[in-house]
Amino acid sequence: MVALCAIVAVAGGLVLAFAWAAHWIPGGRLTAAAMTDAVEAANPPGSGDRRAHATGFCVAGRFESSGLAQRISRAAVFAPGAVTPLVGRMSTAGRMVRSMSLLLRMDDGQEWRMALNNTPFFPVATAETFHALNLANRPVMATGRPDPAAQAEVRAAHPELLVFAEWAQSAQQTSGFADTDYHSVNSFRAVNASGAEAYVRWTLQPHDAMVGLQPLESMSVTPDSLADGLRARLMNGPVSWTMTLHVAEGGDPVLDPSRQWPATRQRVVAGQVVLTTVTGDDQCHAINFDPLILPAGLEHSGDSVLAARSAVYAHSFNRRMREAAGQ
Amino acid sequence: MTTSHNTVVQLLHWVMAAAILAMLFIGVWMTASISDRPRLIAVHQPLGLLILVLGVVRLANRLLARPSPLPPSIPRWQVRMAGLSHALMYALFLTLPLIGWAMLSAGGYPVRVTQSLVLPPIAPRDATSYTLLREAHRVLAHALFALVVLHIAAALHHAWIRRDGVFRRIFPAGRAPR
Repeated sequence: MVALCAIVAVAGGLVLAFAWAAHWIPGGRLTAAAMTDAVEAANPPGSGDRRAHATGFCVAGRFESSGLAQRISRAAVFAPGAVTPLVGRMSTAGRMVRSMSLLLRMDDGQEWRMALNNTPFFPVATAETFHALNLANRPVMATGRPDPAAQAEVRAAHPELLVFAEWAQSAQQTSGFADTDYHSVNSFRAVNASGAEAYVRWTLQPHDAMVGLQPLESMSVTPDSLADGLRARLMNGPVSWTMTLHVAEGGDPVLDPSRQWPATRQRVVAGQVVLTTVTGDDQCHAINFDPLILPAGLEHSGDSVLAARSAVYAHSFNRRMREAAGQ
Repeated sequence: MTTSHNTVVQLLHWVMAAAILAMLFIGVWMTASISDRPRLIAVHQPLGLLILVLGVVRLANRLLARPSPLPPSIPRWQVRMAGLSHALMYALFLTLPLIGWAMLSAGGYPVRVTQSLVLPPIAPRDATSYTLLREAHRVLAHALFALVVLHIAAALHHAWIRRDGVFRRIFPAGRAPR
């Protein structure tokens, strides 16, 4: 009898432990599925669409290495003279955010995927806060719009949102995709050939001169007008950006994407991102630009928002592939 | 008196038992978690490949060196159940990693097993294939967990209730816990 109870206890214990690992037993832990649900609730996607940045188009080009970043990271794309083909996607999220996602593919099958935004820092510091923000931005049944009290509560609890709001107010809206800066936002750990580690963020600075928009002009900007603008610009030749790595020093907030590092930090010009063509939707629609798909020489930094982006993109990809399969 | 399994079988059993249990827990945890996900995925792929390789070695060993028969005290239907459950486990040890590999291939993901080693794709990129393989991987992983729990329960049944010497066979001589 005792033996039977012991066997049941062992089996039961294993099942309970598994259920805990699978997050079936609630324990106040934020799951990737719950975060993805909240992203969907704040902005219901069409079937088969990305759960964020649904509107976009595909591009192609290359990354030309300067060789200067090799002492920071041993990633093959940074080798002197290396030219790495890339596919990418330009997209928007709301009126404010413009994004460039890239997939650099190396000969040996390694890939570097990045999802860059025109905002140099993130509105919030942690994945949990981002989740709270999405929950507060959900349309409420009664009004079809978010609950202002819920939104105010989140803003009060998270003052970093104000910093972002202030930046957004004063930031100059650029005229298109080509004259815009793009940022990694999150930090990554770079490892060089000797094993030395550094935390980096990077920025793509356009070669095209920035053309600021007057407030009235910016009202007429749409995803289509932005897409047409880049297509027209590419008729006149490739569009290029300089990729600059910003290297953190001890004490910098490397795990907090809502805080920028001092402007005096070391900068290393890693190379040029050159976009040459707008391609068909089938070239990038089924790509998940997961920013944690990295080559040897670049690693996850531990930034919780970066981990959350990767997790939510993966769940979003699974859901939209399932929807596409059903059609 | 039933004879022990040979040393290769014993070693492979325990190494794979640890790897598979770890893998099952890592798999469900990494799918649900946010902050633990990157580290767990980095382990999941190389460990899956290891299980595939060990599974092939183990299968070859099983086909070349048949295990000693179970004691005659065990009813025929239980012997058949044991055989069936073991066959199912072998099948899952081999198909789960392959399904995972094919799933990633169909999703256009690089199959990364070390810092710089990427395996070639074994399936074409396709939304439907990806979705089916993803679901199959999930369902079969849960089935394997259920089989593992049953396997452990049955083993302890031999050890603590039947006390028929079967449990001792998977341990090196004199090492079986009481």
